[in-house]
Amino acid sequence: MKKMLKAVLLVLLITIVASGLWAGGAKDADTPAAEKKLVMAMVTNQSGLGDQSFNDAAWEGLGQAEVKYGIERKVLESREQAQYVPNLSTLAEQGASLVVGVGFMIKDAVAETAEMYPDIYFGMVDGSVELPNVASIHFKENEGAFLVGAIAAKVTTTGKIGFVGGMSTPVTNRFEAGYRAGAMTADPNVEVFVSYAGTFADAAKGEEMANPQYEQGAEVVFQVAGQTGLGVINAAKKKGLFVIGVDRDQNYLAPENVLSSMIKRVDIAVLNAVGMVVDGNFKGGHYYYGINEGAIDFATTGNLIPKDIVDYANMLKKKIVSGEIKPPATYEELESFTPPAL
Amino acid sequence: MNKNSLYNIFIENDSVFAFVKAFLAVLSAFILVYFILLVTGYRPLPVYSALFQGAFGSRRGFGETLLSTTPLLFSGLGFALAYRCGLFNIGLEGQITMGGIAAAFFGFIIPEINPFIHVLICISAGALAGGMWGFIPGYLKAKFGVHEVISVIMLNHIAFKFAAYLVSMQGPMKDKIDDMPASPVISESAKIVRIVSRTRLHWGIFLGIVIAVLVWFLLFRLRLGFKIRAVGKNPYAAEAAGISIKKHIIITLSLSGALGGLAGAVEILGVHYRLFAAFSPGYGFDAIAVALLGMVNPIGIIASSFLFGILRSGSVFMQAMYGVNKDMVSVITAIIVFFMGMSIPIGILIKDRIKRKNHGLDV
Repeated sequence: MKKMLKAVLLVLLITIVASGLWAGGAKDADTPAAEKKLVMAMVTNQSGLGDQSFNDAAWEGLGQAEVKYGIERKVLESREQAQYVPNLSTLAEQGASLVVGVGFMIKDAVAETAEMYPDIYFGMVDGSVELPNVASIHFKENEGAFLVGAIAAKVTTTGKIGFVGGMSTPVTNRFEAGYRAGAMTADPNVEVFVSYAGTFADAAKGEEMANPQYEQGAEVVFQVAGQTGLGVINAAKKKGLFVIGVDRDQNYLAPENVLSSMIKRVDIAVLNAVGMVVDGNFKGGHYYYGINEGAIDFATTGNLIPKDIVDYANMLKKKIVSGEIKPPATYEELESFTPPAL
Repeated sequence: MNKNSLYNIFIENDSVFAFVKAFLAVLSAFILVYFILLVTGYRPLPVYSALFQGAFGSRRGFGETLLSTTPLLFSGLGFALAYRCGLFNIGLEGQITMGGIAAAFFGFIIPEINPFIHVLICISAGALAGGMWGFIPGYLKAKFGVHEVISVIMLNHIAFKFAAYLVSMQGPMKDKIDDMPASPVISESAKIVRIVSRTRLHWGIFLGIVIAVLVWFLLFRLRLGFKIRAVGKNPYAAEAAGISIKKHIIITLSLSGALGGLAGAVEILGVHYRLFAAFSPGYGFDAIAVALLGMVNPIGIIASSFLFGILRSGSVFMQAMYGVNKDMVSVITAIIVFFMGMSIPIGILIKDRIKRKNHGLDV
């Protein structure tokens, strides 16, 4: 027994010593003389990678930057609110040149970290941080939502369409305002059902929210609900009706039912931010991405939208770019919005 | 020197034995995780070294370790106190949430005043709110025999949804200026002062240690603590001796809830500075493992909460250095927690083995 204990202790000791050596050795081996690449990093919100939405899109943006600028990309996924600051600071300390925070919940943490590391550049997707080393990236979701709203109103044969949001936030409200205005423009008499699930993370809840809308006659429902929205897509599949995806082209999730997707190219914004750092002309402040910047669009994958309606949407798109149509971004703007005579 | 003296020290000295048990539990967890990492394609030793490097390797890292220790210390104490009275308080998460809500409310509603007084008000409000959330199941159990596990789980959900409602777009505590679903930022004077520059470490950790000593004193040196433990060991014997079961259940659950409330208040005043719906990522549930690993002894809990703090802060580095993804990190910490829970059976196993040896049953 005593011998065994001794043996165990010995093995333990060796393991501990070896681990120290190995770790030390590994470190030397991991950083060879090879040229040092700039590291560009991001911190996800609590949805993490694999959300089929803007975390993945931001990660794609860094992937494109790897090819275009020869940088190295890195990501830290957050599991909880309290982890945002340590994640951002760890990346800053490890010598990342740019650290992008994704999602509005991370805003306080970006502000705190950016102040602590004034020499490092930060990006903030979907939120405002007023510091010279932070680029706040905003999207004009109302422009894209306007287009899919018009498409939905034209496609439905019942004069009824739906909208399912995750939580009611200024961003989702911006989608809603644009969507309703677009629908109103295409068909002044259209009826829009709106419901918010209260969560971005519950697919079952999404289905629960979408079903009554379909049952009341909506033939197209626009989902702006993250994971919850996957349930809306499921509901559409079961009912054999249409759904409009969000953030990325979601047609592959239900090729017969995802009529279109409102695309929010977070990747373009991230790629641009990396470009500014690489070129040495990074400027803090607010960056707005809309149709004009190629960051907001609607998808036509699957060719489910009739040709004349696609043409109609493209015509609206041109008018938004030229400033002829200003899609409302808030409820107040929606209130005073009058459909343009086309 | 007697041949068996070393073993005898282990089993005869309770605190030494407790430490040995906990150590073995943690060690077995690390060995199992070693193989899991190997199978999933990571190099285990560097990953482990990253864990400790993250937790101790820099001033900021160490600060984060102590920072994550703080709420676990408070809530671990809360669980231990109830456990000593034979109560299973799985409702700490809800009590933390209520404490956080109260602290945040008094944090932003009161303008800048003397920081000491302001923090004191907020912390007391947090403890009171958490205490109330512990009093309810205590009262229900004492008066109507409602099992505390059922009622606290329900109260958890009420607390979570209540917090979510308060900071939702139409909620009464939602910040009117900011886009985020969060309360307004608390006044400067309500923020718990940070200890070391460039880290988030604040004085809450010292408050936690003081409270741990107080809870120890209460449990083992005060008459009330003796009565609480008596009810926990054998309620009917206690009652026969003139100790009221009902009264002590209510008192203990209220105090336990108050400790949870403190955890929430300190977390809001020291880390977040505003109320988020899900500001506590499950400290109240980790508290169970923390308390059990710490042998439900306040001093042991200081050590076990520190160990959990290491896991929490070190896991960031594991991800950053070796790309261990966040779900894998959760699996690793869960296995360690699981084995920590196993420390009690491990202890029984060792004791049994040594007894056999001492009786000459094993050569």
